[in-house]
Amino acid sequence: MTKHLKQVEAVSEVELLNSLRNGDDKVLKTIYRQNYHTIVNMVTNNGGSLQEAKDIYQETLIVFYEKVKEEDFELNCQIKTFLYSVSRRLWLKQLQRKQRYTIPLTDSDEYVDLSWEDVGDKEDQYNAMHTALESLGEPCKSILKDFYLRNQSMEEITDKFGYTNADNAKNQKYKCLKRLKKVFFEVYQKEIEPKND
Amino acid sequence: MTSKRETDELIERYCMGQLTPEELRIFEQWRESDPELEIAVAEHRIVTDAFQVYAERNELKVKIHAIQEEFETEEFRYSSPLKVVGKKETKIRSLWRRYRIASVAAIAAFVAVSATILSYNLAGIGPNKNTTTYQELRREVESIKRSQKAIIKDINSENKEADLIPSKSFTGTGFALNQEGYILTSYHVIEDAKSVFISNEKFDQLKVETVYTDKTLDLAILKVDDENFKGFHEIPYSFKKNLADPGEKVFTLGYPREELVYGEGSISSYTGFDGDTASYQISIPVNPGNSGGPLFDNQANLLGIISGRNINAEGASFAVKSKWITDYLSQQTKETKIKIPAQRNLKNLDRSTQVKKIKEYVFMVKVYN
Repeated sequence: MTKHLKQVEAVSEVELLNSLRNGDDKVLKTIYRQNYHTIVNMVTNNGGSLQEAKDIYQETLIVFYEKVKEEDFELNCQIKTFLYSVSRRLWLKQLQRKQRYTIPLTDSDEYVDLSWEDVGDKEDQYNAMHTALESLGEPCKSILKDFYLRNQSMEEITDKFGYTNADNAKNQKYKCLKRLKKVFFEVYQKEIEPKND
Repeated sequence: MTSKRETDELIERYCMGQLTPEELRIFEQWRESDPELEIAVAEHRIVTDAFQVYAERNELKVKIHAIQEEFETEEFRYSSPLKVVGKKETKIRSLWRRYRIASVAAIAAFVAVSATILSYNLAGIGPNKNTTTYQELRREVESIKRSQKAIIKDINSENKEADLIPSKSFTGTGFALNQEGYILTSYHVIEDAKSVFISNEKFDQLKVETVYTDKTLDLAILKVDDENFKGFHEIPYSFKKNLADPGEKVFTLGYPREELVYGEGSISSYTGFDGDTASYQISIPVNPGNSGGPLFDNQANLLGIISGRNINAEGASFAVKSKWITDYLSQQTKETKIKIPAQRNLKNLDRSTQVKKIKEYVFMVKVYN
C-alpha cells in the first residue's frame, strides 16, 4: 500500500532515525506513509472516527519526533511498534477523557505498554501553554514570542510595538510573563493531577 | 531586600546565563538558602521550556499536516471511486483543482465519506490487474536464459557460479532520466527481480539496482551500479508538462526483441485501461518487451511510458502520463534527487535523426528472477 516500499526496506531503522535526528523531513514523510493504515485502523477499530484516528496519528508522530530529538532517547523496538504503542496510549487517554468505554482495545499489532508519563509529558505542557497564551491575548503573545522564541532584544521589541522607551516595554513584558506563568500553572496542575490512567 | 519584580528579573537573567560572575555567586548562595527562590527558578524554567515546546510543536504540526494532506491527496486521486465519477480527464482535473483549494474541514468531510471505500480500494490507480484483458508487456526469455546458461557454463567451470544462474528471465524497456545513470522503467518489468541489467547498442551490459518502485503507478527507478560506468551524455529529451490530446502523433522505442524497434501511432484517449486517469490510450502496436519504453510526441518530448495493452481490443495500448511521472520523481528524497532532464531541442529534426539521437538512452532491461 505504501509507496516506495523497496526504498524503505533498503534503509535500516537506525539510519532512518539518524536522518530524522539530523532534520531530514523526508524521513518523516516515509514513516508517515508506512504506518498510516495500521494506526488509523487501530483507532477506527476501537470506536474512533476517521478524523479522530488522523488526529491521534498526527499526535503520535509528534511524540515520536520529539522523542527522537531527545539526546538520551533510545529505541528498543521497531519504529512501527513504538508508533503503535504511542498511539494506543494516546487513544486510551482520549477514550477515558470522553468516558466512552474501558473495555480492552482490540489490537492488531505488537505493542509496548507505555504509561501516560512516557508519552504525555509534553502534551500536557503544550495544552497548558496553549490555553495560557490564548488567555493572554495581544500584545502579550507577540511580545513573549519575540523575546523568548525569536530572541529579540528589548530594544527591538520597544521599536516594534511602539513603546516610548525600553523600560515601558520591559514593564509590559514582565506583566505578560507573570500572567502567563499564573495561567499556565493553573491549567498544568489540573492536567497532571488526576493521574488515574 | 529586593522586590518581587527585581527577584524575577534576576531569575530570568540567571536562566538566560546573563548574570555577572559576582551576581552569579551571590545568586547561587541565595538559591541554596531560600527554597522559595529555588521553586521560582524551577517554575521559570518550566514555563520557558514549555513555551519552546509549544513553538516547536506548532512547527511540527504544520509539517505533519502538509504530509497528511499530500498523502490524502494521493489516496484521493488514485482511488477508483473517482474514476467512476468522471471518466473524462477534464472532469477529474477540475474536481482535483477544487479539492486542492478546499478548506481543511471540507477535505476532512470528503475524505470521511470516501474513506470507507478508499480503504478497500488501495490498489487504486493503474489498471485493475485482476482482469484478464489487460496485459503487461514484459517478455519472458527462454532463449536468452538458455544461451546465457550455456555461455557461463563454458566460461566458468566452477559449479558455484552455475548455481547462481537465475531460473527465469524477462525483458522490458527502460530509458535514461539523467546523466548520473538513473533509468525509468515499468514496475512490472522488474517485479520480484533478483538482478537487473540494461543494455543497448552503445552499452554492452550494465548492472543496475532498483532504487524506487511504485506499484500503483507501475513505475520503477533503476540506477546503474557498474564500475565501468562513467555517466551518460546529456539527455536530449525532456518531459512534456501538458497533457497530450487525442490525435497527437506519438512514437516509441522499445525492445520487444533483441533489436531496438520503432513504433508509431497516435494518442487515442485521455484515459487508459478501464478509465485509468493516470494513463493514455495509444494506437501504437506494442508487444511483450515494450513495457517501460518512452513515449514521445512529434517534437520528441516525453509524453509517458508504455505500460501495457488490452488483449481484447485491436491496437489499444496504454502509457502512464508524464505528469504522474514528474510528480513521482519530484517526491524522491534529496540525496538521490532525480533530476528531470532539462529542455533540449530535437523538435526541428526529422524522425530518423531524432531516433538516432535518442536511441542510446533507451535500453533493454533484462531481469533475472
